[in-house]
Amino acid sequence: MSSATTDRLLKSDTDRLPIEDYQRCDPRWCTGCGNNAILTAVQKLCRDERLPREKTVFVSGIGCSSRFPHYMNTYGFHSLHGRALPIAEGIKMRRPDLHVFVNTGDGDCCSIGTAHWIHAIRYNMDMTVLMHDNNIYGLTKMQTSPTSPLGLISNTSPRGTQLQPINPLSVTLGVANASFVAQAVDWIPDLLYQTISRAFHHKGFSFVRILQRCPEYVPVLFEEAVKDPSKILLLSHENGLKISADLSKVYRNQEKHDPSNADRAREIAAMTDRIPIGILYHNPDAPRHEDVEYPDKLGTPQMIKTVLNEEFDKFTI
Amino acid sequence: MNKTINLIAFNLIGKTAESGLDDISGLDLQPALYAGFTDLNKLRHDFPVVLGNYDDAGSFARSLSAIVNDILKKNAPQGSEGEFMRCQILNIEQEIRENIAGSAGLSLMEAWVTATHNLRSRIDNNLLKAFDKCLEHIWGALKFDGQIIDCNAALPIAMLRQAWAIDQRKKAYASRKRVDELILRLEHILGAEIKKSKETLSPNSLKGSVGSSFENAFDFEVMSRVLTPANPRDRLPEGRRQRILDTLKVLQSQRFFKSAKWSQKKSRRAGPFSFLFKSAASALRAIESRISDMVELIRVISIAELEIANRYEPAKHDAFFAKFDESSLLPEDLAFFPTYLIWLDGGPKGAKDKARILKLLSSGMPVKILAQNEDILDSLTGSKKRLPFGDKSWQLANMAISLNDVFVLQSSSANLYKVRDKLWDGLTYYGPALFCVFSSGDLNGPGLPSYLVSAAATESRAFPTLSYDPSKGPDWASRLSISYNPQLDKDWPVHSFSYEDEDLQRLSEDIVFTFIEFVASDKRFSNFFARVPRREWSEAMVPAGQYLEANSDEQGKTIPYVLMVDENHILHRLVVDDRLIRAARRCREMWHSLQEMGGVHNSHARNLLELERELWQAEKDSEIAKLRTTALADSTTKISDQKAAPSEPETPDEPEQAQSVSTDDPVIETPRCTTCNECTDINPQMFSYNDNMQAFLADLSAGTYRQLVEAAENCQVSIIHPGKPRDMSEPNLDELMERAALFH
Repeated sequence: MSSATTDRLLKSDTDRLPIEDYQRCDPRWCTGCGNNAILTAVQKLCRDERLPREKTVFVSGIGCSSRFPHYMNTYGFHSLHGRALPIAEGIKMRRPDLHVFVNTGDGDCCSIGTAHWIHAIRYNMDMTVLMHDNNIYGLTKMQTSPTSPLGLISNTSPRGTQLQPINPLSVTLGVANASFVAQAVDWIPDLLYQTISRAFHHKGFSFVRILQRCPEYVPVLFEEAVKDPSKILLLSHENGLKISADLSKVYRNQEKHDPSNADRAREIAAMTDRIPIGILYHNPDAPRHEDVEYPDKLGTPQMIKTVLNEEFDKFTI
Repeated sequence: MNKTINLIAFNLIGKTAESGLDDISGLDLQPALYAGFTDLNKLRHDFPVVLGNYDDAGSFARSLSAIVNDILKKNAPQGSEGEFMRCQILNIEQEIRENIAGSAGLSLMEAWVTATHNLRSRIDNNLLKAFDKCLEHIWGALKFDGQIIDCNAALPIAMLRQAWAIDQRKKAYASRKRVDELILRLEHILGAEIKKSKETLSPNSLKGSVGSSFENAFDFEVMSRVLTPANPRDRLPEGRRQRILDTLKVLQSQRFFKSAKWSQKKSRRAGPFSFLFKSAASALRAIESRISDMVELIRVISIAELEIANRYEPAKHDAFFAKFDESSLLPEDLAFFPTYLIWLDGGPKGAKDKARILKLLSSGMPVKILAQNEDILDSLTGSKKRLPFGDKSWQLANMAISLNDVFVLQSSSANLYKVRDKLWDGLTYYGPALFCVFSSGDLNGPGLPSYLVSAAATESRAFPTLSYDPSKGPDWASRLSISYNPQLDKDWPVHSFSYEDEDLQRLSEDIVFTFIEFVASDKRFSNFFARVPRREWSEAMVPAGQYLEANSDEQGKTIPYVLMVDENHILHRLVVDDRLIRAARRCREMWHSLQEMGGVHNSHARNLLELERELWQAEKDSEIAKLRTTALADSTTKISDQKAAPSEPETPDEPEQAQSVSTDDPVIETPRCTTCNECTDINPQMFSYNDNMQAFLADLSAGTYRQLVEAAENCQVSIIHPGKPRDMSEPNLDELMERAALFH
């Protein structure tokens, strides 16, 4: 919150950095990796929203996707496997003025980090979570991940996976206090950008699952969907994505879906015949952790000293 | 005939002696409709209310009845099982209602204890055990407490002050937190600078920061030598450091909110300002003396926020803040400050005071003024020959509404509980608010409860309830609400009244409660009425409500009366002075204009509707006439001929065809590019990225057809279409074109 005078001054400031200023170095992802498209969409968002680089932080866990913070010329935290969310929560708690983004993968989020994921949804802290889902552990060269489709042959499943994959959208929608759930694909840049932008503007925990191609290890996985638009279902709504006329010519499967309709969102999430793209669910009124639980006292040096001394005194012999 | 002349004589000239009618000053008469309300303590109504001191905005006031209902709903078993509990609790409620009449400042808990004690002493011994058990159960359920107050002259300020205190507390908490956070963050900026200083990195300072346990484990001289050159050289510019220090000084010495202890330690300074005033003049003086402090505080808050966001640019912002003055304050920024509560007991005192109120209301400051009026009929008294009406009571609210951005609530104290949400809205409205409240005092004689008089003022349109909330929208329809008035589409409310006649037969009639009935209840106006003995009642006498509705011809033939009851519940008719009739007419006219503004019987809307109806009718008439002519002309032609002309086939709503692009030209579908660098790696001159980091053909001549085909093959999302070669002399073209054909 800032004063109206400050807001006015900041709004009148129209300078913005070029997209190159948000780029740090050339990404070290494999040839044709879908992560490139996500990186470009995010850099475009930073430029368009004029995010100050010193006020923006990208937090990641471990995996291909988690190399993301290295390529952003902002603050970043390449953390431990599955632990991106608790670290992001800590950052947001201590520095609510920062724009917090989380990059996590299907392995990072839906396997080792599942507990954190579930509770992060429940906490509903204001952050944008991009789950790069390529259905495989790519960094360690092709092991079955929790979202690998049934029958996928990998190093850890030479005879094909035997278990049904987890559906990250259904899981997120099933957790109490979910407030923003969307799905995008890396190969439709316009909608990817729109989805990330809507997620960024949602005040709360916005979860975007991005289906991301891995041409190196599972090139066939999304090939059909990339080439055959009938495999895609676009969700449009005045409170959701706006589909351009050009895209409508290619993607004719469209549904007008009101993101406030949680029941329909669950049905869409469970679809198996087509890939739904758009905002499945949005509830701007879900309570946020930072609003319902906040410290009464400021963490001033004096206060911290007093509290610490009180604690130390307990151990005085 | 003679008797009628007497009545007219009174009606027109008001002289009791000449008209031969009875003076009523010695009689204890009340309007007939008051008969059912002689003992309000026996009736469950909105009062007394309990003023709760809770942060929950909606519960600053709850009526005793609502609290009791809530307790019973949650605790008393359904059906006959819970009957005993319901009876006892309702008895307690009535006991409290009777007890609080004579005592002030009691809390609900205290009143409850006294009431149960009194009841217990009167209860039958056989029921004592059950009574105690019931009380024990209910005591635990009694969660809501606070001062209990009846509908009296102290109510308006008590209610408003309670809500104000809650709002003020919440506001102070948020604003203080904001100021303290700014202080902390600015100190962080300075702190980072200190950590980089030579002093901090000196061997002694480093030794001190390690502590005594491990001081022998380090060589602090070496540590200092290692750390000092590694320290980044960027220092806080002196101008910025000074600006932060100046900002901190103002933030730490502000007096609008009591600051947290840690920021207070540094200076012994004056305590926080007070924001409660009892006159417009003192409030105005306070605001005028504080305005420069307010401007300064908002100025430094903005500077602090820009500094913290790292967006303060001296070249841009220095000039702006140098000229920052009172005129730079935005309404939203003013809302940051505590609200001024100004209680004008008795309303404005004279023209000067009115001018001050106007000045306060148009200042844009968050001022909340309670203009409490104990007497809305005072302009009828005195020696004035003319009887003006409503000058004082209505003028203030009308004046405030005309300022456009002032929140206005007008209500009698009896209605105040019903409009408590509006009261809260007014207090939390970011700009100025005026609350005009009529709360009956003892002016009109003892005996009549304050609640009854103020409720009657609303009922008789003498003091209608209205709220004007500028935050609700841009037009009158959304801003002005008169919905809290009874029977708002009527001139006067109508109530059914039953009584027995001389033959003990039950009779019932509708009584209109007009302004005249309201005045008739006031002893000070007894000379405007005269009692007509029962034997002289005639058909020429009509109820005042009916008389007011009649045209002047009919009025000439009739005499208005009001129906009154005495202490023995005997009905009397009082003939009314014509001057009062004129005052009542004026009251009705003012009510009409309020109705219009509130959207009831709006003349503009009615005229527009009439006009539209006429236009519609004319259009329909012409259509019908045309149809008739056509039908006549076509009666000889065949029906098939009429159908002969086929309608033009509609152009299908096909999507616009894409402009035909020759497959000979190479193309990249740029919007679908996923930025994988494949093509730009092949030839960065030929393929380039646009501002959105998506590939396009930058320079075809910078590369070969082979590179174009290879790029198409490498593109992960197949958006490069190589077309036909431009240079036909390029080697292996046949093979390349065959490969390219896959991407056309």
